[in-house]
Amino acid sequence: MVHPFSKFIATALLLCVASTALAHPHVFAETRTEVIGNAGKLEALRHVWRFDEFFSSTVQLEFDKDGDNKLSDGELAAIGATIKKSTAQFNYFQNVYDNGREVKMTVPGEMTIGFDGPQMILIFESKPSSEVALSGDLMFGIFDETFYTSLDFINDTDLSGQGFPETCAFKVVRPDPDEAIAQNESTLTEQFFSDKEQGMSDFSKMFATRLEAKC
Amino acid sequence: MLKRIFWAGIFILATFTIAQAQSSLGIGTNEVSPAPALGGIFGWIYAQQQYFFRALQAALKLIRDGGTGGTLTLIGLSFAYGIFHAAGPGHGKAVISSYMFANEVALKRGIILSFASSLAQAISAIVLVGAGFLILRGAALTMTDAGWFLEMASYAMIAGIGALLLWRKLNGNTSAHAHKNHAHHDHAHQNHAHHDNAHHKHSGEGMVCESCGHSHAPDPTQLTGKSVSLRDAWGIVAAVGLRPCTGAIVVLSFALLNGLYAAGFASVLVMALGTAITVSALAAIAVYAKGAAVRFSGAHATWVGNAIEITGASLVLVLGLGLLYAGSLA
Repeated sequence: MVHPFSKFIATALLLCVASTALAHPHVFAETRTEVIGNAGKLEALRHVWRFDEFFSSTVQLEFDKDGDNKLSDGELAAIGATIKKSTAQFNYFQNVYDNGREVKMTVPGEMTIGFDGPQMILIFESKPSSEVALSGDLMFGIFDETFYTSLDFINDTDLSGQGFPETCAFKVVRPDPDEAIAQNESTLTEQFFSDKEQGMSDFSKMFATRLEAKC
Repeated sequence: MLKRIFWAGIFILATFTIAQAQSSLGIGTNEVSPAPALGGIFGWIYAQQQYFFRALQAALKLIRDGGTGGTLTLIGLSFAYGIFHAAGPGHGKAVISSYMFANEVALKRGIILSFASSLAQAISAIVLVGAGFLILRGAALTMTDAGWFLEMASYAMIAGIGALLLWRKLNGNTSAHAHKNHAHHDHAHQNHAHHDNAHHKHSGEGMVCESCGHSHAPDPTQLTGKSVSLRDAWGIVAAVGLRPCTGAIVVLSFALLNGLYAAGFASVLVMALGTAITVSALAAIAVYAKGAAVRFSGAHATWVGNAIEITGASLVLVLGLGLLYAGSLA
């Protein structure tokens, strides 16, 4: 017979697990990303993200400093600056891999904010911090590793490559998160608990909708 | 008294210096979640959340545009959202069920606590967004800052309550009146130094304290017949309720901006009702699991009862510290 105390521990564990897991997004954005190549090198990733009306409302409330129900150019710039500063910690929600090597990305310009009716639109361009030749296996994943924002590419054509050598073949991959977790469960747990940052970045790599290019 | 002011000062200073943003976008608050996902149903949860958000938006737009049936749909959706969302990462249910483990609390009390703290959460969302709408526009303080402050205050209170419960348990003293309320503040802050330990323990071991079985248990006679003091109950309600739910904040912002005041308030209150039901159910599981464990352990009943209560108190403390630590990193 199972010792009663172990039963209790099992129940307690179950309760704890049930109450701690299940992170999920609270912000949704319809995302379009163009990966731009030029003369055999990666030039930039150009993003246009359209945010849901709920989140757009909170942004409008939060940044309308003069309370006139309209966002001035200065207020819009403040939104862009806030998002830029914050997403910088997460490589601007991008995972770029050059033949297995992770590429650090920069955003040299501003993040531009506009409103299309009630929906906020974010436009920005991100460049690699080091030269990336368009050869071999390249991977461009877009994902918020904190699971706060859900970046959704509605159609496969919303994540595309332009200006690549003609020999390059593209594929848009949408990982099934449950499958990805199942396949990587043991290594993932180990990584996650031993080194938070590394673990998280691997996590986002697994879930990210990504464009793969074989050149 | 001086000591209290000193620690309160340190706390306020700390909350303003640790971090700026609490979500990856730097706007709004994310839910701090020790584990990123539970394998197997992650995709499903993700899809549900998206579905609910879209449906809630559609219902609010329908009301705004004067369509029929919008209000009923909104109420139904908000209720369901409350029930399901409370099953996600959240401190409320964890705190309350651990609290039920830690104390000889009647189920009825647990249910009242669940409802009161859910209502408090709804009110804090309404106050936060209301302040954002009416006052904060034009002030330097943003809704994100205010929300983050509430969140950290909530976690610090949870850690404080955990420390108080544990302290009482280990000292075999069950009277809330024996220690003035500064006891819990002191404990909360003295424990700050251990954040790292607490966090790792928390994530690595499924939040169960491994040394609990070895703790010195209080005299068995002190473990029966005690009740939650009113102050304890208020503490729990305030600690849980201070941190408004992100879902409620976004729905309310949208509603206020579109002039749908009544619909926004109704939606948030109904969400709280749904949340209260889920949290009550978890509190009930905690009470029955504890009762069953004690009954089945026969001769060891006292020992098991003590161990459960000490574990419960430790869980509240570790949860508070873990959330505080994770929140300060964000």
